[in-house]
Amino acid sequence: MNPNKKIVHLIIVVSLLFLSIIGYLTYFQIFQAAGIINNPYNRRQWAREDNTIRGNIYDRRGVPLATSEVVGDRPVRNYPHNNLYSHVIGYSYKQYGRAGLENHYNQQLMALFPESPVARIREQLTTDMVRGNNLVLTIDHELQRKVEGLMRGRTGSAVAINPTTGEVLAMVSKPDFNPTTLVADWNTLINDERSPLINRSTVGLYPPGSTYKVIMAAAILENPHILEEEYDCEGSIVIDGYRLSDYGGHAHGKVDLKDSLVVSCNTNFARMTVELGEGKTRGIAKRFFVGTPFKSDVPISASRFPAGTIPTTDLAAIGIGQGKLLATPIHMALIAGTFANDGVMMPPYLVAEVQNPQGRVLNTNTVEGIEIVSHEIAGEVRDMMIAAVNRGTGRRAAIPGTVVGGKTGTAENATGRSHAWFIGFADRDETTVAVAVILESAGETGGAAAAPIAGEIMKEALRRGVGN
Amino acid sequence: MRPISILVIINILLFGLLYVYTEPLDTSILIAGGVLTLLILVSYIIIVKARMGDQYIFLLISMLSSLGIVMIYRLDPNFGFRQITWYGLGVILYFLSYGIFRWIRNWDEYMYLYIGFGIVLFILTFTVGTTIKGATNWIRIGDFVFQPAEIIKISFIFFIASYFTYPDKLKNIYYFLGISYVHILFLVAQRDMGMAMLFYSIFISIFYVFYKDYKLVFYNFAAAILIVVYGYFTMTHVQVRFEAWINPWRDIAGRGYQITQSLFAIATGGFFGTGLGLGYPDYIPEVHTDFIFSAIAEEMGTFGAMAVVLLYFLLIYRSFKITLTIQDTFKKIIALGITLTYSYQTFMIIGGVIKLIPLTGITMPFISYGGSALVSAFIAFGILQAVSKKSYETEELMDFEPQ
Amino acid sequence: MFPILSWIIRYLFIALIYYFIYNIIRLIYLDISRINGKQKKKYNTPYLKLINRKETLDFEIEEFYDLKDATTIGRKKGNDIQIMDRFISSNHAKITMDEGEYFLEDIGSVNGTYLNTKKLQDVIKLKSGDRIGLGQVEFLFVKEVE
Repeated sequence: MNPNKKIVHLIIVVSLLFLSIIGYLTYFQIFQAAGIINNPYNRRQWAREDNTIRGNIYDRRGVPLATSEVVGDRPVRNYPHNNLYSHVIGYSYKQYGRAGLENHYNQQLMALFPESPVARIREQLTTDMVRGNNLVLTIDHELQRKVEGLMRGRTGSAVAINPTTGEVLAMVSKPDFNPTTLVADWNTLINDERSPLINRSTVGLYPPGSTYKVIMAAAILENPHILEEEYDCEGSIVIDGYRLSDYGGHAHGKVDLKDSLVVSCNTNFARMTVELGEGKTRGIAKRFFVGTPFKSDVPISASRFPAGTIPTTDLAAIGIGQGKLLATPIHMALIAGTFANDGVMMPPYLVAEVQNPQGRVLNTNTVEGIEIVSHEIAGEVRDMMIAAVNRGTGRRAAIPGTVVGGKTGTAENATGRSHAWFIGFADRDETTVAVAVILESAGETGGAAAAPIAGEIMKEALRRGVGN
Repeated sequence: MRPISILVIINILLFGLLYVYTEPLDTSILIAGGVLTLLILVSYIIIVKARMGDQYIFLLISMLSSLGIVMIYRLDPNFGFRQITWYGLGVILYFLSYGIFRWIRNWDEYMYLYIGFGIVLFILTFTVGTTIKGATNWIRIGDFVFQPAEIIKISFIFFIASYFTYPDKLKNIYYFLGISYVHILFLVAQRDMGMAMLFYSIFISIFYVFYKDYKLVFYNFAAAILIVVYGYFTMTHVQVRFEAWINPWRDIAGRGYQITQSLFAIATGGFFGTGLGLGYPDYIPEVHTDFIFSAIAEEMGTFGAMAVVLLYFLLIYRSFKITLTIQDTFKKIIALGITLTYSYQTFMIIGGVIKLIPLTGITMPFISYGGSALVSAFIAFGILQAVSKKSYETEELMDFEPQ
Repeated sequence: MFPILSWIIRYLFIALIYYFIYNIIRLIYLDISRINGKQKKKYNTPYLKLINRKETLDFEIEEFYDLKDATTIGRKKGNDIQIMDRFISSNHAKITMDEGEYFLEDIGSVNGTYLNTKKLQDVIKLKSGDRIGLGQVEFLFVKEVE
């Protein structure tokens, strides 16, 4: 072959190499740059930090939750409520980076991308400090205080949301820390075995236990052929050679689906799940985003659903929320909320509005609901959950004069001491609130330990009328 | 407007800006910029008026060098000043190598000389060489250090060219392969992986073009891949580089430090850049040599950086075009070798700092700070200029052939 | 003060460098189309071929001019070959054919007409390969021998 022809091959190769550089640079700039700029190791941000007054953070009614002031010639961040918002707002320190909203909304708080080029030029020209944008949260300060008070001394998480809008009304994770004294406490905090720096509400993954039965109930209602008029619960069942027992080996006698949920009958749910089969069990989980991530303005760990073929014994365990199932507390609150909201799940969000320093609204968060189950199925499960509070395991969550529904859970785990769960909702005068409460290794049942806390939270939320 | 006028305007703007940037005001920057621009202008006029062949090569080289000098000046005025001195020397060598290459007619007859020159320099590097940044690839003469591999690049191309011109000089093709691999092995032994890769790419590409037996080319290619895989598992410094490429974010403070700092710079710059003097490129280690592209991307923006890529591309396109028009085998391979050297080198360093490929310590032609690299690039393109003169004459002569 | 300057120059620089690249691409493109144009030329009649690189001249000029029985060259409209070089006179030179031979003659130009670097004093016969210089332009006279 003529050398020139082969040289043309080389020209093509070299052209492709150069094209790949241009292509990659464009891709990098459009899709990756924004994330990389925010990396706490990027020292450029800290250079900007010294002449930026971070934006303030307010609750839904304008109570300041984090503020900035200038001391000498340096901006200083204040967290007036100390521990109360350790996991919602987080912190921002040069030495230790950022967490919480201070991290996820850093661009807005620092006004890293001013709206107009004119603003950017003005920013470069003046020696004045740059003012960041303010955040208005969906959180209700009074409710948050109430929840924190109820959870004090415990280990676990409590989340309250408005299931009709997706607003997060309160979010507490325990143990917590004080962002004001973070620098001094750092070594103690990172060596603390209870991991106070972790926000359990959004990244803590727990076996949902019996609270998962609400999802299974919906799946069973969609496949009514597997329902038995009256199932005779003997306190345990043998599936594939493994014995599965009810709480305390207690036999529930003759129960239908509603009764099974009300008394939290493990044997019937395990039996029905096995009959339902792997495909439908996986299908309903997927619809409720168990095992797949869902949208939110702050990162939330995806709940886990086992991959691959599931052996029958594991499938039975999934029916009662054990096995390899794991879910975050905020996700469980959303699941409870879905049944209170006609089967529509509203993705959660924490920041209602971003405002510029002059108070003009730059960005308003809104979410679109996702229909998970039909209106009818949601209504039936809702009734079962109400019954579970009226006459079942969730009795201690009841609020006089209010429709309250819920499901308790007592989840076995590796620590040997079971987690106490309660998920539920309350409805009064067009106001709806949904909650999830988990007490880690409480050693008590969900009905005894978690339900009363959830009841108090819902009562306070309804009293403050923040559910709508 | 003529490109040369645009170049002058750009230089006036950028050096003017640098003058305002330094505090206290330093007129020596204006003088340096003026001298540089004048040097470019005079050299360009000489090339055009003396009909020295292709006019674009020098223009593109000068544009790239000017950007490099401006950036280096902005990072450290002392380095900037030295780089201008190197540029001046480079231009002189450009014309010298142009003249010498044309004056001596029988370059293709000295194959053994090229082999000897390369091997002796390699051995010298080993015996009297100094280690800088983990690679023993520098020779110190007084205050002055230089990288022999930069010069061996050229003798290596000459060796390949003379072999393919008179293949009978060596007993068989395996002698040729052996000598080529000796060059590459020396570089591996010096732990200079970037150079080794570069030499190998030049060798395999020319081998592909001028050797008829595809099987042997393929075996060589396959063997090289095996060697790279073997190298990965046996040499820790190769593994470190590779892991720093796959996931630099896992160890930002350690292995991934250089590359992540570079990515921070590029990301911060955005499409239009922060503006000269308004970014923080000095956070990146080795910013004036290996990572100068990131500094350009930060302060002149991704659009500025892409312009640099395009300038290189035009330079390479031009060189390829010259290569295609040459009839003489020896000169054709020389031109092809030079073109490929700078194509691959540019791709390797830019691709490395933007994390498209693993990072190899290699300089950016004409832009990076560094005497030996700049000088050898000027010599190489001086030779290409000489070859282009010939190709232009043949083009004109072809007009007289009756059709 | 410095930031504004840097901000403005940043945009100017990007505009200029792309303008630079655009110009080079344009010139390279002209270069290639010149080579292509040359191949299309049918060499039956004697013609003038431009020796200068076209892109070095800042006025319009053709690569080839076919010669007729009498061809006039000058800046003024009406000349057979009109070239807007300011060093070329309104009516500069003339090439005439007589019995198959071509003759070059200066028709009173200011800057003169050159044949192979010698200034033309009188009418002179052209042979293939002669270089004709007027103003900044240089032509090659080409006549095929059959």
